[in-house]
Amino acid sequence: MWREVWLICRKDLTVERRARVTLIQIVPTVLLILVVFAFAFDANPSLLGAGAGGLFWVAVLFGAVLGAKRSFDIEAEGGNLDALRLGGLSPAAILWGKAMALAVQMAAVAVFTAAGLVVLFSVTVTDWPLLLTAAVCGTAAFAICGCLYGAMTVGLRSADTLLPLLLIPVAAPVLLAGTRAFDVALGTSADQGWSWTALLAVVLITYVAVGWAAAGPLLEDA
Amino acid sequence: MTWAANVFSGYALTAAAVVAYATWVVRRGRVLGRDLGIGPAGAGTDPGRSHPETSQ
Amino acid sequence: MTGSVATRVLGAIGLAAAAVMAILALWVSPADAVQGDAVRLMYVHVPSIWVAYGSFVLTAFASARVLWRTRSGAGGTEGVIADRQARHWDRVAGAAAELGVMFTGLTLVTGSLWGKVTWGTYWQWDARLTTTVLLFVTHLGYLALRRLPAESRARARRSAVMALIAVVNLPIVHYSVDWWRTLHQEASLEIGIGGDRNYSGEMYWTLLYSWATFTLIALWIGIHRYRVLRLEELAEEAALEELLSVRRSEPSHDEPVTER
Repeated sequence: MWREVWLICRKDLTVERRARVTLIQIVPTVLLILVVFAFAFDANPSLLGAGAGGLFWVAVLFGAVLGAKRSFDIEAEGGNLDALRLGGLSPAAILWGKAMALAVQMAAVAVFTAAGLVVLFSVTVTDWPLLLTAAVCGTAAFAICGCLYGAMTVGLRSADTLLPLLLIPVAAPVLLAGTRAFDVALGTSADQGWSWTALLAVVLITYVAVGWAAAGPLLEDA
Repeated sequence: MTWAANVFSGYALTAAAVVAYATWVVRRGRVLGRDLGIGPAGAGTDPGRSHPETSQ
Repeated sequence: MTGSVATRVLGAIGLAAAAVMAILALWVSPADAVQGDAVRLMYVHVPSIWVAYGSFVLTAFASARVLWRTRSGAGGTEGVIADRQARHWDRVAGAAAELGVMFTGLTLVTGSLWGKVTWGTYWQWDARLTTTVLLFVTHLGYLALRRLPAESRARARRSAVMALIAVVNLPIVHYSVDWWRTLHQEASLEIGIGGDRNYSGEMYWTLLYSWATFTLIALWIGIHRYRVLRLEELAEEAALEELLSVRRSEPSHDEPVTER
């Protein structure tokens, strides 16, 4: 099972290394979102700094929507998914392999976004462990959610427009908890940052359980 | 008298939405039924009959 | 076409009940001591969300049944029965979700109108409001997913998974939003239902009566919608049949080529 997961993960990462869609399309788009927010708030540094935690998660969420779409686009072409299933790979292995690869790519997106925040919005980090834990839990949760909904809409005609509508409401708790945790880690709020990170972990565990249960029904006859 | 406007528009909107939706459903049923050449429900081949619990 | 004796009787009772409800809610029931006549919005607002919750619970239950009945493995007669039951539950889920979305939408609209009178604003970033709007959008997405053309079995399973995720997600959304708001807002602004305030007996009974009326009407529409979904499936099958028969009666394109 784990060997299969690793196989799928490596396949997706190899595709990414060759095509570099995440690196040269998704990362720049996410950075553009930061710039656009600066336009929206009239480049008011105090406002941008105060909202930096939320901006990070909004930007990463949109990155995850694009990433999930991309992740299943490469499977829709030429009935790739059927081929994987016929090759004897279990639905769960496919889902977890793809989720792992997407999580790695989202981590890259998150790093670039954070760097963008530091450079563009002059943000300073006051609590690194909190920031990193929250970032890891949140991006992993986005990746699992993205893969679930990517698998749900794979091969459908209007998947591009439907995916954000499905994904964003489900990702709302991650957005909320992540924003609160980041506000604390960036020193803009004196909230209980670790409680919010714990909530992120709970959400992550729930999504893992849901993914476990849903992999079969979603991918068996996709 | 702002409460009156809001209360009445609340009731009116609710009624309008429910009636509009119900009308759409019934009309769509009629159109589909005519296209399929199926008689009104209760005439033997109606769709409600295939699942007795919903046509009772 | 989708009517039967039972639904006609149900529809007639629903209509009569709605007429009586309007009299009870707008005239007979007393005005509230604090809110005055604005409280009358409660009789459409609260039953709407109750019916919506009921519909979404039904959608989730039916979706679980769909997944249960489409497990791979059953073949032969048993497979045919399982397939029929799966289609049945899929239609139940679809019809209930549509009703749920409509009534959630109405809840949001009537709630805003009520809020404007009692709170002075259409919207509050209150936990319940935020959760409700996310519930609404999630099920809109569910309906959008159902509309996409696909093979019926795959579509039924996929939408069933989506409906169940929506339900699992609901408590998480609710508690995170709840927590988010309570940390940033001293007092909850709920002047409406849910507090400890005691409504007079007449108001209580009017509310229950309105709920019963809404349930009857929703049931009536839901049964019709179920039958329309069945007709849509039949129409799809008929269209396919027609296409096939046209194709069969056409002179085959291959034959002349081979003859020549």
